[in-house]
Amino acid sequence: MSTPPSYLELDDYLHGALSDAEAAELEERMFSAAQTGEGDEAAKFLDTLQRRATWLADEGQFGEAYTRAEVDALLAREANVIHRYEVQSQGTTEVSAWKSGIKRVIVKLNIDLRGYEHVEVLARTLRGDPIITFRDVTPDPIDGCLYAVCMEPVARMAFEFDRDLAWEVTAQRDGKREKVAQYATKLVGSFAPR
Amino acid sequence: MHASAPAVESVVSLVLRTRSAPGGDLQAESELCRRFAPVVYAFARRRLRSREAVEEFAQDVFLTFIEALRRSSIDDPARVAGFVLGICRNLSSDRARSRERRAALWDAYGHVLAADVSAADEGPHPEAMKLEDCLTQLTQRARDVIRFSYVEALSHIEVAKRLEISETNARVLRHRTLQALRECMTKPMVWEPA
Repeated sequence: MSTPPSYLELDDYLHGALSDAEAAELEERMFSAAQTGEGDEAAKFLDTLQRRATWLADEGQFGEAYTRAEVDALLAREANVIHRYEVQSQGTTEVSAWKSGIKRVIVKLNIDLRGYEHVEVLARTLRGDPIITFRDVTPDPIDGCLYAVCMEPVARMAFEFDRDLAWEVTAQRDGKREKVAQYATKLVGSFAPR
Repeated sequence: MHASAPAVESVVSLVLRTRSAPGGDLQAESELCRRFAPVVYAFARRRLRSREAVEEFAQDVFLTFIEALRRSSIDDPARVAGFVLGICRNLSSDRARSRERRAALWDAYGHVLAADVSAADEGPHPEAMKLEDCLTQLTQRARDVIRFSYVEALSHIEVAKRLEISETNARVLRHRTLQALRECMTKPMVWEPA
């Protein structure tokens, strides 16, 4: 029985890094794995990645920060299905649970990060346990604020994970990483059941 | 006591099932298309760039495959993977195929192509949410390599040019990013309820 291709081999195949002969040989193994169902995870993984990544890119949800102009354009298109709130770069900001029917949640962090690069936003529990780090978050080039746009189910999941979250923003300037903000968010109210 | 996972019907059994149903076994045909979908799409994506062209090619493969199933023209069900690969290769080399042939096949068998085989995915699928969560944790360069490779479908040479790095370095970055994404995608999201 032939060896199913790994996802790295398939990646090379998809992007033209294999010769025609190598590609033909890989195709035999790839189709054979699809027939037996053994070792076909690689093709499934890359197929899923391609479909979901394309959908996210079309939706403007590719894991990147927005600029203020992009947020304004989004609000002009979808204002009635967007929940927007602002947080301050210190202290605790109360965030109201949003109504049902919301598709996206926009967060503006009031800060000026112009002149900084490689901005990272770390979420922690109030006990200090790290939850997630958002890497290379790009601030708005004009006002320096951070604008994050999140799909509603994920934003809701975050607040349902913990009503109280601690946030820390670090960034590099002159090659040195600095802590530039430390704040907390507290969910007020409850979400309507789905 | 754990409930055992339902047995997955083999591809050979599915092909045999289509033979015993004179008018076609819609469920078996649809399932066969679903099993081969990731590899048929991979075959198409290696050769075609636009989403529309990839979709059209994959549909043509499945329509031809379903026609062959209905006509019981697959001599050896144990070699069905080779049969499907053969359809892919024939269609690939016969790019001058007539639109009329495609339209006729679509009229006859288009209803078999279930939405999950060929149609674009709509809405925030849980996999998309998880992928977005994972993308936020990557560096901008890593996000770029996924966008160029899997959304814009650039070749490995074009990806290297866009990133202004050597082809070897672009390949290493792509593979490392895929490994990180795969690892992230196989774990529950940090926000995900247990």
